[in-house]
Amino acid sequence: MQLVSNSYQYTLRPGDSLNLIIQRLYGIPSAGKEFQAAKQFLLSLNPQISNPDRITAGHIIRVDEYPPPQAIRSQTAQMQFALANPKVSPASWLMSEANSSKMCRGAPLPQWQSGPQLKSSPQHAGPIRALETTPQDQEALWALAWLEHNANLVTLPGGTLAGSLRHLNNATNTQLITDISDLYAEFKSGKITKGAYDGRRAKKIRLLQQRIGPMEKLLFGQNTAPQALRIARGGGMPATAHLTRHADKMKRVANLSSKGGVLLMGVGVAASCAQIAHTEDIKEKNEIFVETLSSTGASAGLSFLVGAFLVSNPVGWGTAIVLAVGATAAGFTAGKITKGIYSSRYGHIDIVGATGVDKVCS
Amino acid sequence: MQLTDILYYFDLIFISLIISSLILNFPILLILHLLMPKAILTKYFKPPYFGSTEIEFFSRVPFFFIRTVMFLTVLAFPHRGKLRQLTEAYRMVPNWYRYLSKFYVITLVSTMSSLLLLILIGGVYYTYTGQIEW
Repeated sequence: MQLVSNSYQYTLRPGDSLNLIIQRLYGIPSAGKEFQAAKQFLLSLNPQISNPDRITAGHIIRVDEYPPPQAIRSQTAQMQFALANPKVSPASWLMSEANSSKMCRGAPLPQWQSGPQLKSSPQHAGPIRALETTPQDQEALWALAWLEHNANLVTLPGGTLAGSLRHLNNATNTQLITDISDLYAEFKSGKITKGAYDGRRAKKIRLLQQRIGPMEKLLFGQNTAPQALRIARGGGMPATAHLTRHADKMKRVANLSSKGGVLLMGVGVAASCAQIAHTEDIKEKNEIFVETLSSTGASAGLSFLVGAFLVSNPVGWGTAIVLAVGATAAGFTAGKITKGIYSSRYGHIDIVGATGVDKVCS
Repeated sequence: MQLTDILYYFDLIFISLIISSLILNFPILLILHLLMPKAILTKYFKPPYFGSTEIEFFSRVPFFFIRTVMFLTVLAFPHRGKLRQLTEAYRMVPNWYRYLSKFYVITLVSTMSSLLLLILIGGVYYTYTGQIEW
């Protein structure tokens, strides 16, 4: 393939892959000779890509019309090409991509010169201008765009993490730290002996260590529980300052994480809804919908299966988290498989339109 | 049977299981959750039947549905609650609720186990053939 001088620039986003770009730009499914040819064409435009499976977000690649204009010999062939590829213009694709995240990516786009379908489109009557944005705004918008396209990646494990943090920082564990503080007060007031204080304190710390398991480092930084929960000596601070600080920190994390699970679920639904609203293509809207619905259903069902297992097999919290993460990962995979099945077999069914989801999310 | 036939039936069964899991885990479980007798929770959802951390964890949205499934399991199959001493809990619910619990748990386990198996097979196959993007 010959390098075309009048090509377009596209800045890669997190989650982008060459396969995805080919599917969305040229509408070619990710299998078969045509797909391979399109991939070769993109690689010929971008000789800097050494490994097509490892492209990095933020890098700029060149995209162009496929097949290239010189490959279309006659007017008849041009008309056939236009009919077979109604959305093949990179300009229109980049425009829709830019609209979907409310910003233009890459350099200002030149007007598309060839391709009969573009000439008839009033959308591209003039040159497309890039919006002026500050680097900070761009980063924030990229983050939002990434979240919009990868909501499941954040919400499913995020929900599990939030639940786990809540579990780690629950009131019982926090109470153990407060108890150590109370023990110290009793020792200083002479109610218990030094030996009794040391023994009871060690017992409380052991119990806390058993409950939090290997997450001790996460809760107490680089220190162990006995190091972190020591009595402060000197430095003009109260003797129980470290204990109070850690108890307060655990309470704060518990409060945040208890809301975090629900919040992340809301964010997930809202992000999917926003993605549906910002997508022009009906099939793509449906793909987002079926992926979200099936990943949610599968991960919830598998979590309930774990619940049915836990009632007769009480396990430590570490194992419970592993099971929960496994369930969410399987749910995520289920979403991807359902999306693939929908695209390949049932793409003609408009579920979003039929259920009114489109109107709710618009 | 050719590969295309196998894939056709795989896709069909997979979609059916996904739809079943959606129906089972949202409307049906919600109804069972709301119908769960309060007396069960008052008597059994506390130490020593459940750990203090479990009580914290399973008291909040959306994790309290896991608690409901745990109780449904011991109501349907009392011997499953042996370790937690929940074998007598089924006496506190009417028979119709026990039958519903049994139906739900059997359907849940069979549906979700099959789905998990298909997710593993489908995940590997479709990734290998490049039909799903990660």
